[in-house]
Amino acid sequence: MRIMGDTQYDQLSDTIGKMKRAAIDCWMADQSFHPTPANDMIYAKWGWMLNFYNRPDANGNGGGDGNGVKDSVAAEFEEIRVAIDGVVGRWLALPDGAECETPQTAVSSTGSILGSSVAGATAPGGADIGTPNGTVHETVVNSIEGSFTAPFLDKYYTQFSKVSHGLGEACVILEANYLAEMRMWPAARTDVAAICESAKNRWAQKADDAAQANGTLMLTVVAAVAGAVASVVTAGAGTVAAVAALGSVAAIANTAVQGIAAEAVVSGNTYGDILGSLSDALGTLNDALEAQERALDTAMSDAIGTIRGDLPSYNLDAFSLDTYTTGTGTMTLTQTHADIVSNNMARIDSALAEAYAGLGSAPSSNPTVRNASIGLGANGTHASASELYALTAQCLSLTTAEYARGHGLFDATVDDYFTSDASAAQTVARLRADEALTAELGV
Amino acid sequence: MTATLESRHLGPIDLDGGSGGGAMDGAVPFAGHSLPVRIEIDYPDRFGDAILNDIDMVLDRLDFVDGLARDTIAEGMRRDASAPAQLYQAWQRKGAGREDATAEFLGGLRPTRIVVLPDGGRSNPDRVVMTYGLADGSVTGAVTVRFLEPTGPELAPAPRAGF
Repeated sequence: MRIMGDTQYDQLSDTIGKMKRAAIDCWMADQSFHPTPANDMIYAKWGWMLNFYNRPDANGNGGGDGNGVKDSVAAEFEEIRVAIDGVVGRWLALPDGAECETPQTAVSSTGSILGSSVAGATAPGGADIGTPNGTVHETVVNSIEGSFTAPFLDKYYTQFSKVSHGLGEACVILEANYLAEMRMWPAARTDVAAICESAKNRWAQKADDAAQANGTLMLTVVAAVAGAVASVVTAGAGTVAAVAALGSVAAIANTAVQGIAAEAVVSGNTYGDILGSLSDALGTLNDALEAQERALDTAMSDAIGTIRGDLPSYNLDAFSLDTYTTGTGTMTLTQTHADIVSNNMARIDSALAEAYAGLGSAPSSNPTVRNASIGLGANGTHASASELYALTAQCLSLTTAEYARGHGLFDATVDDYFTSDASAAQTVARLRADEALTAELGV
Repeated sequence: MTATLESRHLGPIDLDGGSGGGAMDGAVPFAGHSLPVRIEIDYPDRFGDAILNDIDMVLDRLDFVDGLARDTIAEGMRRDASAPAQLYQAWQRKGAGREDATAEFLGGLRPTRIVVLPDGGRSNPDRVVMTYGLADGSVTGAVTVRFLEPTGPELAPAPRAGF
């Protein structure tokens, strides 16, 4: 994909050279030296007097020797070049965000399966989980009687729905991060190129004494990131945010990002004023980048804290099954209904396995490497994104295994009911013991 | 302080005028005559060595400035409406006579005044204004050459009523 504005950014090195020459022209004009009509590689006092200095080439290199009050202003020219490099240099080699596409796709796909943005109004989770989960609930409630049904439904329907939503919402927050980063850097490149171009033009126009309104630039990075976060976070708000604590974390992040207003102004009438305003404009851009990354980072840190503080809502393995009896109570069920429940639980097993496999793991290194002074530092949001990613993946892994145990427990209970032999009862007892064990999170 | 500054050509600088600007009149020898010089300073509070140096630079190289002015006048002769072309016509009417006496006319022009305005900046782009008249006094009237920053010399328009 060709990213808009990239061409101009790719030419930033050339632009910087032209900025240097325009800045030197402006500085010389500040002292009433101008390129002469007869030879535009020479600055003459007032544009026509005998005193002159050599002009740098089109890329701002060289120049400065002459016969004005001083023999040479080459050192002053070099100071200007160094000053511009000092302001613009760190903006070279910005990331393009492309490396965020793979994790963004992964978390989006897993989030969809678990029930994030594609969740229906009534179905808990996406179609892959919501529909079979609803069928399990309906069948057990309407067609199966027995004391085991209450704890079974409590854990493997009600709590599982919550966990599925919660993990889906964690994926939404991760997706907001990766999508925002994916959109942020091409937009930042566009903004850097536009700010530099504006400064170059301002220097050139001031050297030519052209009247020039202040160059007010609306930073494209603000709208790009706000749009990306809103598109992900608000898509699932109607269903997910209402049921999961992480919904409010995502909403806060969305509000924070929406609230970042940034316009950069390049102004000034002398070389020094314009250089200062260039530095300020790039500083404003950096403030916007930092505020955006901070909002994303805060959302992910808050999500990590929320999950760790309420593990049973995000990890089915951490939720204990209530008293589960089979042999003593009265049970009524048919093989057909038992098959319906088991088949639908198998569908959920598959969906969870697919969601976990699709999620994979976070990028091993920061996908948006940049100068340490830009945005939230050299690592950006990578550390918190990686931690949330690993936590979500581990919770999903444990939930997948726990749901499979629940499925096995249901099958064994049914088997025990229909065969009433000792081995079936032992199977139920073993699975209940397995269910009671809680794995260490490990992340 | 301006009082301590001394021009190589004009001696100690003593500006008259107030906050709106300052000026000083003097004279320098040029081409065998005394040429009246006026300096006009837009920002007396910023007047210093750099500005003084710009003034002396002009007075150091009056021959160069005069040469540029004469080239500009000669160029202007090609346009009938220009001040030198009209002064030439008036001079011819006074009986100079010959069909093409351009060279003689130009040779008869002598600078009568120079004004140096070193610090007018963007708002007042005249840096030097040089005025020429006919040395023989046959026709009164002047041709004025303005040296603008950054575009260089150009002729001031002829008077509406002619010479």
